[in-house]
Amino acid sequence: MAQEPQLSHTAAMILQAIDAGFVYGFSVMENLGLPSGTVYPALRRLERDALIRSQWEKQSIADAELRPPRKYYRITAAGGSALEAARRRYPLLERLLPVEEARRS
Amino acid sequence: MNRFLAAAEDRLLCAIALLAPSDRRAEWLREWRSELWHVCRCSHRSTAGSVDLTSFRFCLGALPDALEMRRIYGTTCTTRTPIHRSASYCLLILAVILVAGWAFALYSRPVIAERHTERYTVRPGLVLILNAHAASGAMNSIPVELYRKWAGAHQKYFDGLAFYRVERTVFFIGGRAAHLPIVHSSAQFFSLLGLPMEIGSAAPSSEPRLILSDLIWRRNFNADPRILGRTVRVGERLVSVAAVLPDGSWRLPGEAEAWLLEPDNAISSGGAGYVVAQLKPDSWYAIRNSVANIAAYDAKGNEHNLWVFSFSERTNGPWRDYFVPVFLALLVLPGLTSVFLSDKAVSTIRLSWSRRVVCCVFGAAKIAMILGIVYILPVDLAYCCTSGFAPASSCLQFLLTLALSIFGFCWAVADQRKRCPVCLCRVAHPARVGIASRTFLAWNGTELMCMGGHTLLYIPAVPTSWFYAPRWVYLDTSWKFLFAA
Repeated sequence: MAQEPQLSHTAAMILQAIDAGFVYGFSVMENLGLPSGTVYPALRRLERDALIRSQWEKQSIADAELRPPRKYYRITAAGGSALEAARRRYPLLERLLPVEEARRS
Repeated sequence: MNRFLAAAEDRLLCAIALLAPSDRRAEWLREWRSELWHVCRCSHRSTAGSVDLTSFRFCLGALPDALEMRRIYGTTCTTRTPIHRSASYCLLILAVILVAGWAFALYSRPVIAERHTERYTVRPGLVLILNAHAASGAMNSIPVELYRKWAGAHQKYFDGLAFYRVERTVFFIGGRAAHLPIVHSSAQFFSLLGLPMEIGSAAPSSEPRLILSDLIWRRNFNADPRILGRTVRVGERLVSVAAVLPDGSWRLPGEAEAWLLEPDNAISSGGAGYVVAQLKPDSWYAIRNSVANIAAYDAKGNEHNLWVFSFSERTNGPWRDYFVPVFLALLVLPGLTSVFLSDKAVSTIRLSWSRRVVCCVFGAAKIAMILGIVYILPVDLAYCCTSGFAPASSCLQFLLTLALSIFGFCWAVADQRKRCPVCLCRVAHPARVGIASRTFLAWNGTELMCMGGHTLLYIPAVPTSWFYAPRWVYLDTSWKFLFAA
């Protein structure tokens, strides 16, 4: 049986935020209240461990909205199981950023 | 003000981007600029009309992110490159050789003496005369009778002559007898050499006198400063101690721990030794090449073929036999190997300045260590078994320095040519590509690969006007899956 990755509390919060639909760095920062120097390095580590994957927004969409394209992060299958394990470990995690509520907002 | 701040933030991001790995730098900077745009829009919306540092604080977060990127994806190979191919291993091996050479040089007495030759000064025009058949200086060569005949005759070329011979003699120290190598020499021997004494004086005297080496003075007499004038027994004779010779001063052929100075007619007959002579100033030209050949006749009319070595020429230290061969090796290097490292003109990718500087520093460090090795190893090998004056050792040092310099420089260039410019690991897995008959129609040569997946190296089998030097092909991230661990 493969050992589940042990996430730090910050990494678990960021993973929860991405799962809740805050899919780019600045939105994760805004909603978690963490500084950029914490969020972006954590995103690199999560991507390195294949818990999230990144994808650039299509240029045409960004051009239509007169803004630069964004880099979006998506949670992977491994990231999903890691998040489940983190929720068991940190029960308050779901209350911090409830997925349903976040998706409604 | 906000416009100035925005420009400063963009410059700050560009500067921090230099810390990110070069292959991910553009994407990293693009993401941060995009995020900054959104941060600025939000902060302008909330604090219109006043200076807001939110975006600036946001930019400061780029620094730990760039460092994290460097740590994760840094300049190291994406796969585990064998340690023996890495740049650090190469420098480590060179450093070990260099340190071993210096360590030996620090503990080998002959090598120490040779390295500190500059402290040793003799009179200009001083020469050592020995038999041509014993030019290595390993054995006594001139009969004392020949020296006596010589010293008694009118001298055309020499201002002064002195004879010495090394014999193992019984030396009584503290009531105990010890067999020590003792030099039996003419009374004027040290005044002719002009060597300064540590204590006392070695001026000529009609009475036999003893000069002690620094080693024996410290070991057997506890460095007693009142040793001068004390009577000791050497062989069958009682002699007084006149002086102590400083450590490393004795650089003539033959090991010696003490010197017995006695009148010429008191030196026992039958043995052979060496002659030290002071040339007249108008005769110095005769040994301008540091060595000359002369013939001498003894009382029975036998001819002796002798070498005259300029002793002052041989007290310049090992540096004299270092710079010339290194310079010669640098001269012949372009004739032995191509000094072009690679064909940069065809490369479409420009390496970052930091990588280029690292490449140059690595090459310079390698050359510096080779220069150190080609100095110390020949000195160690040439002088480890000699004591002082050794013409053959000087020649050996010259030849070894020349050979090691040529080999070292050729190796350094060849090694640098086969190191990936990105990670400095040696390329591997050579593969023949193309066939010889298609050299002028297609490509024919050897292809090598960086184990980290950064580059391929193409080496043409036959250098042509359009492909004469090795070419690096930089691999982009799409190749990375091939090299995944």
